[in-house]
Amino acid sequence: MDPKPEHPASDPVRPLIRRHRGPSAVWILPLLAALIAGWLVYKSYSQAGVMIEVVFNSAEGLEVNKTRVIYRGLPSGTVRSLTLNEDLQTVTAEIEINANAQALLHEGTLFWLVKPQISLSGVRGLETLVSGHYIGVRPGEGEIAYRYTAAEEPPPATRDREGLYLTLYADSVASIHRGSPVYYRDIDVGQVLDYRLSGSSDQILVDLFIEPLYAHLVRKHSRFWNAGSLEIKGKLPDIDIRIGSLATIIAGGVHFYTPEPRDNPAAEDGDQFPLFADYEAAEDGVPVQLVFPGSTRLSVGTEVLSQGVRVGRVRDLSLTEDFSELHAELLIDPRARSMLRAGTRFWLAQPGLPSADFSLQELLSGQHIELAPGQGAETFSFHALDEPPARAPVSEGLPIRLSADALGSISRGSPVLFRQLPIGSVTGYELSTNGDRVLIHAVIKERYRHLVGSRSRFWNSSGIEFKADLDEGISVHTGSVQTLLRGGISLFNPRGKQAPLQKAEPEFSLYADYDAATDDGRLLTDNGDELSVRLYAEARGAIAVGVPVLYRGVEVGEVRHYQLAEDGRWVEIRISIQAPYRHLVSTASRFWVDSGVTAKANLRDGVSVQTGSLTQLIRGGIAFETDTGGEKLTKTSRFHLYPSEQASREQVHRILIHFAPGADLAVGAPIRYRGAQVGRIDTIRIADSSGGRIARASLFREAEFLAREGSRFWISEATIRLSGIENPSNLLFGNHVEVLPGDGAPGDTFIALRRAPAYRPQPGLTVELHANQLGSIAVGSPVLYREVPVGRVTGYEINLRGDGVLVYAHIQPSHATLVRRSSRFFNHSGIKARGGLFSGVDVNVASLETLVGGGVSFITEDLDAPGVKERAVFALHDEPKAETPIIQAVSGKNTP
Amino acid sequence: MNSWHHSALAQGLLRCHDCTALWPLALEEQHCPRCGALLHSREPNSLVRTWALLITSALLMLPANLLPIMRVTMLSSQGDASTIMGGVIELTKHGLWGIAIVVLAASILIPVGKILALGSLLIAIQFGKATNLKQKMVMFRIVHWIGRWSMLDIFVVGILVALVQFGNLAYIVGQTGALAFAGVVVFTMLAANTLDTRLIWDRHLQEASIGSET
Repeated sequence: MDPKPEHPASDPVRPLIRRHRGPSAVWILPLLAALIAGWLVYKSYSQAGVMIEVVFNSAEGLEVNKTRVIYRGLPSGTVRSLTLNEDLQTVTAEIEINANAQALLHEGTLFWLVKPQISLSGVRGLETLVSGHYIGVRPGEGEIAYRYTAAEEPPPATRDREGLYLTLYADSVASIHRGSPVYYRDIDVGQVLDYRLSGSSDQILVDLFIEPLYAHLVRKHSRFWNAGSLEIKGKLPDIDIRIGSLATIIAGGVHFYTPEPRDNPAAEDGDQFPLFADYEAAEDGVPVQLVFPGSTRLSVGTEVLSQGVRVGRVRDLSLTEDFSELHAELLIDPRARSMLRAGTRFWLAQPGLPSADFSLQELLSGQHIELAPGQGAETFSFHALDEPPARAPVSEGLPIRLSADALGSISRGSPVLFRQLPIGSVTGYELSTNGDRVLIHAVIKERYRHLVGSRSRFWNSSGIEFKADLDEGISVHTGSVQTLLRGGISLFNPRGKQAPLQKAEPEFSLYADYDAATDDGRLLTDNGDELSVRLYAEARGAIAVGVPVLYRGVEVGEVRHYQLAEDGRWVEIRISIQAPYRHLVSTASRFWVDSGVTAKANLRDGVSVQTGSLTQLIRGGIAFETDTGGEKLTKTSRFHLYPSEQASREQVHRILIHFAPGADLAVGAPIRYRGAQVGRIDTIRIADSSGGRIARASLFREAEFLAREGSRFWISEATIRLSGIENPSNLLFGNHVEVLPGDGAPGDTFIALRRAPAYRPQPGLTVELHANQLGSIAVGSPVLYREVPVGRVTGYEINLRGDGVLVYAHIQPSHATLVRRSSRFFNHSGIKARGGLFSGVDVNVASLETLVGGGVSFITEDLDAPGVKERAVFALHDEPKAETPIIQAVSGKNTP
Repeated sequence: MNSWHHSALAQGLLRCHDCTALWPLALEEQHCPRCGALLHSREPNSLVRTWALLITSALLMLPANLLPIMRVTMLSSQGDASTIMGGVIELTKHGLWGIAIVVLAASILIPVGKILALGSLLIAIQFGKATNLKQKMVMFRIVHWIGRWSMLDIFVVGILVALVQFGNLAYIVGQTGALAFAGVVVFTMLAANTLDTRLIWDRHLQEASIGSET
């Protein structure tokens, strides 16, 4: 029901109708939508691609609606369909090329399939791994076309980038590919665009593209070389392994460098350069023709050095037709161009053993060509020397010349050593003009120039000195490995003033060895403050160079040298005494060989063996002692080297003694003078059938005064008598020879006495006693003074007339004054028995000794009486005078 | 005369849209004395506006389906820009039929259906076809209700663009197609809103009153 029936429909309130003018604003919306749709339609139409057909060999990697045509990274079309062609060999891809890319479509346009390529030379088309393969396109020229055949390989890059386009020509393309990088100092500065045969097909043309950033690096004189592959040059020491990068090994590459000066005009597009096979070939240089003998062993690449600096290399070698000459084309560094002058010498330097400046380089470098610049006009053609010049060019240092008999192991580069320190080296050698000497040229380094003086001595120090020594063990002494291997020259400067060198190239003799250079050590000893002493020995014995010279066991010097004297009778030994000990040696010095062992066999001490140090024991040594009274040595002083200390002390004077047959005498029997040994019997031989003997005896030095005419020798035997044993030692050691000096001229032949002389001068007083008969007096009988023995009977003899006996009685010096003019001697021996009826028997026995051996007594009543001289004559009475009170008193002591 | 042949307009009344108060027609184009809303007996220019919006959305259907709605870029490769239909085909290729049908329905069938439905309603109103009015109302309600689901595609694109941003590995960029499609959906919904369904019945009432008068 209607809620308001009072307002019926028939009476409605009439609405006020207002006409709306114009279309509603809401129509803008469909208008906009229409615009959008229209724009879409237009766009779709305008973008509608052109369908083209491209024939591929294979549809591999092509996908409908997926695979796109990309030109410079911009998708320019899409594969719309793929159909197999009727010939079953190819596939036609229908491709919709975007409208904006239609300009690409010309006859010359190339299409190719881009696949991912992963190789050592790089990864290309990586994006295709994810996005799938795409079709590359390179626009070409010509009419518009809609049907193409795809290229197998991507065409070379187009030359539409800004940058430098160059062409290289080469004999071989080697490992260069399209896209191979171009390096400048190993920086990738461009790439190889393409390579092709030249028009005449005799060369390969390689197109390069250099990035604009690096274009300025290429100059008109830049040099390109093939960096491709692994390049190993097996030429020592440059085992030249050039690897640009792994990429260049695989993909090859082109390197270039721009030699100085860099301000040459820059290269322009289209410039052509030669492409060298390798870096060496590309190197710039001044070509020089050098002629070698045909047999020269030379290889391409051999370096040319000048004073160790590389100035070039051998670029090419060619033999003449008759093989007589080898033409080498050198490439000399332009900077070394100034060296190429007339007079410049070239020679092939063979590698030697390591020199003082040992370097692996030198050892391994093998041969090289040495260049010694000359001074003439510039020239570029030379003849090489057959062998290195003896006198190498020397820029600094002192050149010296040594003349030797033979070269020995000296070689070029052998060091010149001073105290083992290399101060120079041998630069060359040659024969003297007449061929009898070898001239060795050497150079002393500048800073050692002062070491060489006019008196310098040079010797060949090559070789090994082998020395076995208890002290130092076995030592193999070589100067150094160098000198061992390649010889060496040593020098030393004798003491003394060195005159400055006069000549620019002084000449010296090269001695064969050290000894020769030092004049057998003479120069050496002069060299120091040492005292040089010459010794003469009968044999060398254990004396060797270096054996010590000992003074009281202290080493004060050593043996420097020994040699056989010229007459061959002696060995001349030169020893040196160290400076602090110079004063120890005088003319009174005695030298002997110190064997180190002193063996003494002695009844008292037993046997004692003394040895020095083991060293001394084995090496031996020379010992000396200096007696007082010596004088300073003179130049001509020389000494005898005795075989032992004893011998030295004895310094024997040899004499001959004729002995009559009789008493035993053994070799070695001592000669004694007043109890002291002054000599020795050395040899004894029978002189005649009667048994006479000739003994060769040695008199010790201090006993030389005995070797005078008038000296008397006799054999002294051990005598056993009641009163004692005379010379008891002779019982054990045999007889000895006694001597009494004479006063005549020196002599050395003597006739021994048959027995000891009765009178022997000796200290004290000897008196001659004249007796009628000897009685029981014997040699050795005591001489008594008041029963005190004060002397002995030394001998007796028949007096010259034969009517009496002459008894020599010796009074000890302390009692000599007891003998006065008034003294009275009498025979004390025997038993004096006097019997009488009333007086009984008076038996007077002096002593048992005198009873047996006899004796002489004397009394001196007046002690104030004048003394007596030697050999004063007294009468020997048979008995003391009875009336002598003193005697009476003495002898009558038993009387009341 | 059936009661549904009567309308407020025929009774000389108009109803406030906001507070549903009934007022005399004299208050047309004036403010509701109760709630202050502008009073109309019928939506003004309803037909024209609806037509305009409908045509707009119909036109936008073209770019929405022809232009890609998003571009998936993976591993630096310029991925395919997929249109709505392309995406549906892609889904079916992967065997995802259910999702394909949902997407197809939400993105293509429903927008197209809405446009067709609204278009047929408008034609019916324009030319005063008074047949099957109830069915038309049912159709209108379905169109009105289902319109919101059409935004499903846009949501998917929006979420994907927001989520899939992995730098160079993968990223998704929305394309203009999505914008056009959003426009289609929005404009069809607006069109559905601006259509005053009472116009359907007005014609019917007119015919009924003419018929009863004659």
